[in-house]
This record gives sequence, C-alpha cells and structure tokens, in this order.
Amino acid sequence: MKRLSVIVALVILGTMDARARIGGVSDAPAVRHRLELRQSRHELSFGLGMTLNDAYTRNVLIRGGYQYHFLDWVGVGLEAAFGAQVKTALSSAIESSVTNSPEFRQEFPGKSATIPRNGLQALLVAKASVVPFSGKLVLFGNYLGYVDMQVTAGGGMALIKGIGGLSNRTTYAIAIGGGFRFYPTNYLSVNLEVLDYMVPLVVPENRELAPNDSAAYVFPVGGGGRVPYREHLTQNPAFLVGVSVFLPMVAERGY
Amino acid sequence: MNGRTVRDARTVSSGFRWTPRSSLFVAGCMGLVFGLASSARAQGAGDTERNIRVLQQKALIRYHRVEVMPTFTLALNETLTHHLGVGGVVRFHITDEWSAGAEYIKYFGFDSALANEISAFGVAKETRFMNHYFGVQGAWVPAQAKFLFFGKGPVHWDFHLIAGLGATRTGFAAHRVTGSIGGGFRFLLWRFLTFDVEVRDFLFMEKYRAGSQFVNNVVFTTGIGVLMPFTYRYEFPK
Repeated sequence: MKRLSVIVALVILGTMDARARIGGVSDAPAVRHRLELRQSRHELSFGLGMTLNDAYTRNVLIRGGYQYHFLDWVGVGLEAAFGAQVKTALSSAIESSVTNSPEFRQEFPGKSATIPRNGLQALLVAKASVVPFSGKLVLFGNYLGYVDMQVTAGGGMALIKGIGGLSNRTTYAIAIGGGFRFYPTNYLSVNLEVLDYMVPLVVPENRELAPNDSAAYVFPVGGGGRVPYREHLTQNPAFLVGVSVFLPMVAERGY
Repeated sequence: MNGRTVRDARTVSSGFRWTPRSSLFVAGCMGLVFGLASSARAQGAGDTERNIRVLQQKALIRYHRVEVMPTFTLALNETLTHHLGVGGVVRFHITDEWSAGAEYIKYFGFDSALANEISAFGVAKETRFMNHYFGVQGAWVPAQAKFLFFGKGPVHWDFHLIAGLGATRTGFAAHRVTGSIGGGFRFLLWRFLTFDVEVRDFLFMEKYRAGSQFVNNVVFTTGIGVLMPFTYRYEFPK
C-alpha cells in the first residue's frame, strides 16, 4: 500500500510537471494563437486581368476559381477563365504597313489587310498552390492585416479563338505563377497575381513556303506574299486582380 | 519478549503509525498542495502575460547605413528586342524610411524571335538597343512586415518605392534623359545582408526614323545588398 501511495503521488506530480512544460516557450510555435486563415478552408475567388507583352493579340480575362486548403501552406483547386481578344499595336502597325504597300493595293484594291492571329477564349485549369510566406503587414506604422505569398502551378485545357482565317482549336494549357493575398478581414482577401498561361498558339514563320506545307497553316496576307504558320508553345503572362471569400467565415486559432 | 513487544508497540503508537489510510491522506495533501501551487503559478503567468507588453526590436535596421548592391536586370515589356543587364546601386539610408543613391546598369541587347517572325509580312523593323543607364535615385519605405516561411521564421522585409533621374544611351546615339519610377521588396537574410527584388519603369523619348516615340522600359531587378556598417546597437535593451 505504501508503494501504491508513492506511485499515486508520483503520477500526480508527473501530471503537474507536464502541464507546466506545455506552458513553456521551448516547444512553442513561432507565432502563438495564430489565425489559421487557410487551413481546412474553402476559397472561392473571382478576378479580372489581362495578358502582358503580347505580340499580336491581348487577352482580357475574367476568372473564377475554387480552392481547398488542406494545410496552411498547400491547397488544390480548379479555375476557369474566359477571354476577350484585343488587337495589339504591333498587329495594327503590320496591317497598316501591308495595307499601304503598292502590291497589296494592286492585288486587293480598296481592302484592308488582316493578319491571322489567335487568342485565349477559355481556360480550364486544375492547380495546386503552395504558400511559403505568410505574415502581417504594417503600413505607415499602422497594422493593416494579414498577407501571404503563394506560388501556383497547374494544367488543363484551353479553347483558342482563331481570327483572320485561323480556326478555333482546343488544346492543352500549363499555368505557372504566383502572387499576394492581402486579408483586410479573416474571410476576405484581395489578390494580386501574375500567372503565365502557356498554350500552343499558331504563329507566323519567317521562311519560304515549302511544297509540303499544310494548306491550313498558309495564309495570304497580301503584299504579294503568303505566310506559313506553325504551332508554337507560347507564353501568355497575365496580371490578375481579384477577391477571394474563405469558408467557413470564422478562422480558427492555432496553439 | 512479550513485554518488550508491548513497549515497542506503545512506543510506536505514541508517535506516528504508517497505515494505508495515512498513505492516501498524505498523497491527497500533496496533490492538493501541488494543485494549488500549479494553479497559482498558471494564474501568475496569465497575469504576467496580460500586464507585460513586449516591444520587439526592429530587425531590419537601415538608419545611417550604406547599402551596396550588385544587380541583375531583365527587361520585361519588350517585343522586338530582349535586354539583360548587370550593374550596381549604392544607397545611403538617411533615415529608416528615406534613402538616396546612385546606380549604373550595363545592358546587353539582342533581337527577339518576334523581330524575325514579323519579317515574314514584309515589314521593315527598326530596333534600338540600350547600351547603359546611369543616374541618381531616392527611395522611401512606407511598409514593413515579417513573414513566416512555412510556419518558421520570421523573415523580415520591407516594401520601398523608388524614383530616379538619369540618362540612357541607346545604340550609338546621344544619351536620352530618363526618369524612373518603381517599387521593390527587401528581404533581410542576415543582420547586414538583404535580398532585393524590384520592378521599375524607365521612361525616355527615343528618336526613330519614323519619328520620336515615348519608351517605357519596364525592368525586373534583383540583387544581394550589403548594409554597412555590418553591426548596430539598439538604444534600449530587448
């Protein structure tokens, strides 16, 4: 019985000691009671953007997406984007130059040259994102809110719109990029992102026509010449601005 | 023997006799005492947390330090040309927010694939390569923050806005007066070592055969900055 008493006492003491150690700082996380803004939350996002540095066609994009964050630093999801095409200044300059050439005026009197080009009409991409950096932002000495930086990669399909003689096509798409999410509240974020949608586009090729060139990829552009086209994996970096809503709306706090 | 046994028994009974009940009593008392002590200690810690404000020392100190940064530059918004650049920036941080400095970029330019591609349409292109840029700049830090890197850290960083004035030499022509504006992030790697990323727009007027044109040369710049003096002392203890 004496032994039992000692064991009971030791158990009580041991339990107390364990409680004291949990309260220590040696095993504490970098931030205590941190808001878990992403972990186990659903993210619904909506955004607008445009592709940058385009050669022939600029794409204005409307994007919607869903993402589930398994952990604070990793999430997977799906996004869809729809694009409207705008002619670039370079395309306009080339068309103007070709239209004003004597050969084109002689061959197509009273007509304007239109160069074949293509753009992003729709994108459907499955993606995964990693959040390596997350923290707080102080602006002019005042605390503003939480902010994180994410890196995104994914793949899917793209619907390519053909203009000026090129046909519409469905092909694959690769998306790689990253951006910042700024959280003014615990359930809402404002997003700035740069995402490179890499898709095979049909582009002109500066060479003589070959006898075995496919007729589908040879387009008359006036000026007495015919330009061969080829399929080429093209980078379409897009700058996107958007908002995200995180569900459930109440974020839990970590240890 | 019997008498001794009785005497011993009395002797024992007149002091403390260890029984199972007394063992439990002692264990209970110890538990109560330690429980109260633990509760008091936890409450004390709670009070301490509530009553003490911890002011963290700023980790990224710029005040009165010189920042020397070799840079690598990549032009972002080009269509018919590509430019890479190497150079350097020297900044003096007048305060923790404001700094002034000078910079130099040596550009290496070449034709892009698009420049060759559009020749298919029979149009004449006129490209102009940038040779170098030199100028002065001022920077202001409106925002600073700290990040956790995969939950560990923290990593201290700031955001700074930059404006500058200088000259760009393009081709063999004269220097073009160039203004610049942009912003960047400075991540503190160590007490005197930073990793900088910046995006800036260099604006100048270029003369082509077809006429003058306003050029926006948007560049991405990255570099490792060294802050001197290497060490610093805080005015107040931590």
